[in-house]
Amino acid sequence: MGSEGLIAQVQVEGITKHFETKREGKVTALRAVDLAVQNGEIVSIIGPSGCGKSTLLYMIAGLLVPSSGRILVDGSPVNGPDPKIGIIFQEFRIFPWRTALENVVFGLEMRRIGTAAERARIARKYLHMVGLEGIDERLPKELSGGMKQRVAIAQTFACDPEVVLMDEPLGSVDSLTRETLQDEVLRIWQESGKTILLVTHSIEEAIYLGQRVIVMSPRPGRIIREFSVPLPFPRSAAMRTGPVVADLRTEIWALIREGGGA
Amino acid sequence: MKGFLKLYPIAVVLIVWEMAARAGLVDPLFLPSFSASMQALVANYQLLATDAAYSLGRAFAGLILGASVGLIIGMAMARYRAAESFLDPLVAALFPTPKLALFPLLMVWLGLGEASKVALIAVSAFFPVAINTYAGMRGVDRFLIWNARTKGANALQLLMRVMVPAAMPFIFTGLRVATGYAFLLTVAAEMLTANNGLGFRIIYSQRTFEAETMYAGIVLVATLGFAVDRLLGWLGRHLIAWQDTETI
Repeated sequence: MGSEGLIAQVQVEGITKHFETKREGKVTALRAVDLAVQNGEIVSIIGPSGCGKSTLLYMIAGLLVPSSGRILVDGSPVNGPDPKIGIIFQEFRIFPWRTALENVVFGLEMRRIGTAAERARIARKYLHMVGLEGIDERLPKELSGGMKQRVAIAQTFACDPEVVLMDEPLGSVDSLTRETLQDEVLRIWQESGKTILLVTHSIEEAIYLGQRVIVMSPRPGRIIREFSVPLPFPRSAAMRTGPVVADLRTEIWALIREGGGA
Repeated sequence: MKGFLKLYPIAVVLIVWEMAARAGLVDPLFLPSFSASMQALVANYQLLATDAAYSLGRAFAGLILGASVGLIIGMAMARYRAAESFLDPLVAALFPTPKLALFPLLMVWLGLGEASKVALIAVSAFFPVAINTYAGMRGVDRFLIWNARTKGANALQLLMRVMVPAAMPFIFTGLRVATGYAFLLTVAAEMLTANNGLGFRIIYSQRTFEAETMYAGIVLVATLGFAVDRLLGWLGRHLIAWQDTETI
């Protein structure tokens, strides 16, 4: 998956990010990160906690500004949030005062796309896509963790973004729900053809969901290695316990454990 | 019905009051019986209803004025660094000041009529609403704001469609506190300078030894305060029904 010649859909060039913290003073969260994600790819980023992988996503989404370097999406520099770059946050940050349907129409409503009836129709399509039926009028407090995460996925996809960033989207659901949702994410990726870049702290999840797995070092975060996952799509439950995942897992685990000396 | 049953202690107090007065344990000038007070309430129905209307008018005029300004100032403080750095020390310094201390000043500026009373009530209602709006909006989950911004919300939409609803439980608590203050200062101001209103009626009856009317006025003030607080509580539960009370 080289990026020679062609401009990648998401192009991260020499990004460094410093933070000013009260306790530790100036902290370098990321150092000289280069990354290219092609149109339609699904790529996982993995690394120890605090390695700046979420910070990287927030910068691609235009929510944080890099200290140096630049980020291009579709060839143009990112300055500020843009609905064409969707992001799904940890722990389902949907709006608690809006019903499931109202949450999914949010982006369309803000940008005044279509009539209210048209927006509701679009939202129902996306709720259907994530396997939620008959819960339109329910408030988030009346939904399970897995359902809330599905609403969050529908909310982001309803904006029809070109790139979808996922920040540990399945980190706070139980392991059974998590495996189901992983398969849903893959199905949605295949059906929608969107570019997906996801951050996770589960090695198995990174391998199972990604065409490529990018491994980051502890702070200051750098990309230390990149693995191609030689598994075809659609992926199956058998692959989770198969030799490809097991071998890659061992290799990535060793890399992370030795602290990314490379 | 269950809600009413929970109020039985009030009935107990009223019964003890009635029995103590009837048994002649206390001078009727200090404590007329509850029934005599209620008879005074019925007998002076028109007078007291007019007084109640005046008091409610002042309380709500001041409350609406003070709460509206408080909402706007609180929003500005949460939204603009300059407003925050200028207003935060002022609000913090003035909030603990007993607002009644400002009344003589307001009378000098605004006269002895309605304006100074409404202004006093507005000042008292302003602070809890401003402070709670500010605190509530400052505490909005950064990820909710980010979620809205990445989905195309502009600055005004972010304020009105995300930050205000997210801060609503706080704002509403501030409003409820402000309502209590508004009633308190309405009665206080009426006791000092007025010739109508329940505060005036209570102090006037006391000075003219009409203990029954004084007690009728007190019972009426208490009942109105309680009813308005309950109404706000009910309204609040409907406005912020989305709140997940199990996790908060």
